[in-house]
Formats: sequence, structure tokens, C-alpha cells
Amino acid sequence: MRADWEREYADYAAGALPRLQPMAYVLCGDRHRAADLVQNTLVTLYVKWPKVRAVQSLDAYVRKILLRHFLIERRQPWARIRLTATVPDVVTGTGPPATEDRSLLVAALRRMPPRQRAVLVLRFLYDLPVEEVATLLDCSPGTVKSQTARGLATMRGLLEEPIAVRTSAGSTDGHG
Amino acid sequence: MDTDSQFATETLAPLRDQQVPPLDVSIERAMATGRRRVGVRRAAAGAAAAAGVLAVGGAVFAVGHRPPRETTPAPAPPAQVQAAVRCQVSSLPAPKGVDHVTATAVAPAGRYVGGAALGSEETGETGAALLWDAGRLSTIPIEGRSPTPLGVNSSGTVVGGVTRNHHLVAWVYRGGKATTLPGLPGYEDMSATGVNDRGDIVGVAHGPADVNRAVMWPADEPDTIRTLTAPGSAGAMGISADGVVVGYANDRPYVWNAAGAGRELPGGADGTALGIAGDWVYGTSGPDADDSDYGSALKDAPHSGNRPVRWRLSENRLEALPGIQPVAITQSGAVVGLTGKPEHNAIVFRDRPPAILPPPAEGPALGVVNAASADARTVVGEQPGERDTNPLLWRC
Repeated sequence: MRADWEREYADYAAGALPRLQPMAYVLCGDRHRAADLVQNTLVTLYVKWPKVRAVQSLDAYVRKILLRHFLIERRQPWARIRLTATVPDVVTGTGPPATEDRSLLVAALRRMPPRQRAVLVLRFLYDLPVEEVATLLDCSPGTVKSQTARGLATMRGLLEEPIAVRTSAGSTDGHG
Repeated sequence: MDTDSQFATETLAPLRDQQVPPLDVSIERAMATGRRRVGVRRAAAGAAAAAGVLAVGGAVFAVGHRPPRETTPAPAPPAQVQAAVRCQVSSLPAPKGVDHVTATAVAPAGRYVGGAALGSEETGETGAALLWDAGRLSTIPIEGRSPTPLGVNSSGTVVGGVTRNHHLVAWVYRGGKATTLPGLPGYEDMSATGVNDRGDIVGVAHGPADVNRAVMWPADEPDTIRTLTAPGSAGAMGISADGVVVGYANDRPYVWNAAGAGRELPGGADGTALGIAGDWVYGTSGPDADDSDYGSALKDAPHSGNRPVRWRLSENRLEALPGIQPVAITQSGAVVGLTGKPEHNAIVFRDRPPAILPPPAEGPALGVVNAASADARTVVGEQPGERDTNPLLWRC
């Protein structure tokens, strides 16, 4: 009956939220888009629930849904439109040092092409091996490695120009 | 650990313990959106539902037909919302005691409207398929969970999908009688996605490992299912009055002529043709060539997450529709659809820039469009709310 599996879904979703939200936030760099990303992930999971609820590695599956949404939605024309209307959650210099570091990092990540960003976050923040990242992103391990190299180069470049990062963080993420 | 990895790990370290600000996320809302999509989208497109880009409360748009340019087609300008067009919006009658009701399909001439009662979470109701004949409501007797009409023709024949024992089953309601359409051996889920005025029905047979078949139930042999020849995984999403079928094959937008011969539509990988009226087709098309880096991420969701476009068949030409998620097209190429996210729903109609359809007078000022008649003068959809969903009808 619908009510049974819906309850099961709601229980699982409630348990998964604390894991999905930080990942979405790191990927998106602001809470509005992160909220959209998590919300859309939950909707997709609901739609697929009758078939996937028995999947063994459900957490990995949900993570994959989230990443796919992240990469796809960067492509939407309206995603770009929305970017300009969104106030970034970036602290610009007055907070304690750790906060500022984090803000610069988040800003730098936001300016990276989405796939490079995803690869760096998964490999070096979530400590996932290359093969697992490849599975999550539906690409070859070779692509993960090349994206990692490009991502690191991008990130080094961005972090070397903190002032530019700060002043343009709110309006330059048009790559996706 | 090599130097690069160390650099990256150390650089990202401050993010490990960061506090995430409260996010506006709701499981209840996800379930409400998902419930609608299970009915409307999953039945229509199977895996396409995965893309899930439409926000609840997305605006509604249509784009007017502009004569094709002789030069290389450039993308249409971004959608700018114009003042509401002159349309009357009203709620369709809903069955008593049902909170969530939507209108999902409309006949070419606008007389018949198909829809669904989405059931109740609290009571565990299974939902029901509905038919409005010139505004008069009746229930279509279909067994199973969440039956959803996806097509209606001018004689009131309704087709759609319903879930039985965790499988999708295709059905037709014709002459007052509901019948299960024959399936394809080896394919677990069937959905009927469209019907034309002759009574030809098209749909999708969902196979194991995401390999699908485009199928047709011909009007003159109602107990027969035929597959439409196509490369790779394929699905049929719409059929024109004269029997031209559109859909996807091998993750590409595809069209079959009335004799069943297929060809790819221009636009490249990762797309699907979702509907057809005369010479015009709407759907989605894949990423630009210079952006192919991201293509593989779209593999499992090629159909609804990509760039929205319309095609003109006689010219084998496509045109981008930026900012619009189309749900219907007319014989003159006007497109009805949704915007991505402004909080006001709009519809657009005939002339650029796209114009807003008026929101309902009562309740949330939101109107989501699901389908339109052949001339787009009758548009149907729903008004989503936290506690209920109202079926809407615009007359323009």
C-alpha cells in the first residue's frame, strides 16, 4: 500500500538529510541552490522509491542522484539566471580567520566548472577512491584523474587571487 | 599521498567541520511533488523522471510562433515575462473528499480533459483517473494505484498508465470501457503516452537494464502491440493526427513517419522529442558540442533535464527555447510550458516575449501547466498547495 512505502521513504529521507545537506552545500556554495539540490534529490528518490528501496548501497545511490542533479542543473538556462539573483553566503573579510578561509574556499569552488568541483570535493573532502568517484559521476577513472588535475590547477589559480575571488564571487559562476 | 593530493586535502580541510546553514528542504514537499510526478512524468517518460528539474510552482509559459529565419538559426532570446494574457482561469470540479486533483491531458479541441485524483497519504487511497467532458466530471474505472491519463483525443478516448503490483500497466478508456493494453513479453513496465484522433496509441515498453522499446497499439487492431523500429533504447512520446510519432532512440530525439520509418532529429545526443502537432515538434536536445565534457552525467536522464527546443520537421531545423520547459506545442509552433523558478506562474502565448497566464484568483498565486489543446486556447494544469492541489483550466 502506498502509505507503507511512503512511510519507509520518509524515514529513510529523514535519516539521509544530515548527510545530503553538507554535500549539497559544499558543491553549490550557497544555501538556496543547495536547498534546491537536496529537494530535487528527494523528489527523484521518491519517484524511484518503489524500485530502489531494496538496493543494498542506497546511500551511494542517493549520492549519485544528488550529483547527477548537481551536474545537470548547472546546465539549465534558468540556473544561470538565478545565479545573479542569489546572494552568496560568503563572508567578506570581517569574520574570524577560519571563517574567512572557508568563505574564500567556498567562493573559489563556486567559480570552478561543476565537474571539476565535484571531483575535488568527492576525492579530497569525502576521501573517495578514484574508482568510486568514477562510478558516482558516470565516467571513467581516467576522466576522474584528468578532471582532478585540471581542478587542482583551477583551484590553485583561484586561490592565488583572493581579492578577485572576493569581489566577483556573487556573479561569475556561469560555467555550468 | 602525493603532493597534489596533500595540497587538495589540506586546502579543503576547513570545509570538513563547517556548519551548514539551515536549508529550506521538506520531505513532505518532496513527497507531494514526487506524487504528482509519479503520475504524470514517470508514466510518460520512465527514466526521464530522474532529471526532476521542474520546481513546484514553476511558471507557465508558451512561446508564440515566429516565422523561421533564413539564416543560421540562433537561439531564441531568453524568456522575459510579459503581462498576463487575456485568459480566464477556473478550477475544474474535483471529486468530493479528495485533496489532491490535477488535470494532465486535454483533447485537441479542448472538450475533454483528463486528470487524476492523487489519493490521500493519510487514508492510503489509491487515487483515480478522471475525465471532464465540457466541465462535467466522471471517474474512469481503472484498477490499480495512481492511474494517470496522459493523452485524450477528440472522441474522448483516454490513455495512460497505472501501477499494479509495482509495475506500470498501459490502459485505454474507450466508449465507456477501460481496457488494459497488451504488453510486450519481457518488458516489465508499459505506459501509453499519447493517442491521436484516429485512435492510434503510442507508448513505451520499459525493459530490464533501462532498455526500452517504442510501441504502438494501432486503432484498427486494438488488441495488437507493435514495436517501432529504432536503434538502441527507444520510446514513443507523442503521435500526430496523421500518424507521425515522436520520441527517442539511443538517447537521441527521434521521429517515425506514418509508415514507421524512423530518423533522428537534428540536435545531437541526449534528448527526446516529447510531442508533435503537424509540422512542429517540441522536446529537449543535448548539450552543445563545446560543452560535451558534461555529457556523460546525463546518460540516465537524457529526456527532461536538457536544453528545451522545438523542431520544424519540413525544414529539419531546431530552435532553442531558453528558460522554458515545454509541455505542449500547436500546429503553428506556439509552445506552452513552464519557467524554471520565478515564484509566479506564467504562461506564454503566441507572441514573444512569452506572456503569463493569469494565476488562480483564490489560494496560492501559482498555476502549473500540464497540457494544452491543439490551438493552445484551452490549457490545463494544477494549482499546487501545501494541503491540496486544484485542477485548473484556462480558456484563452
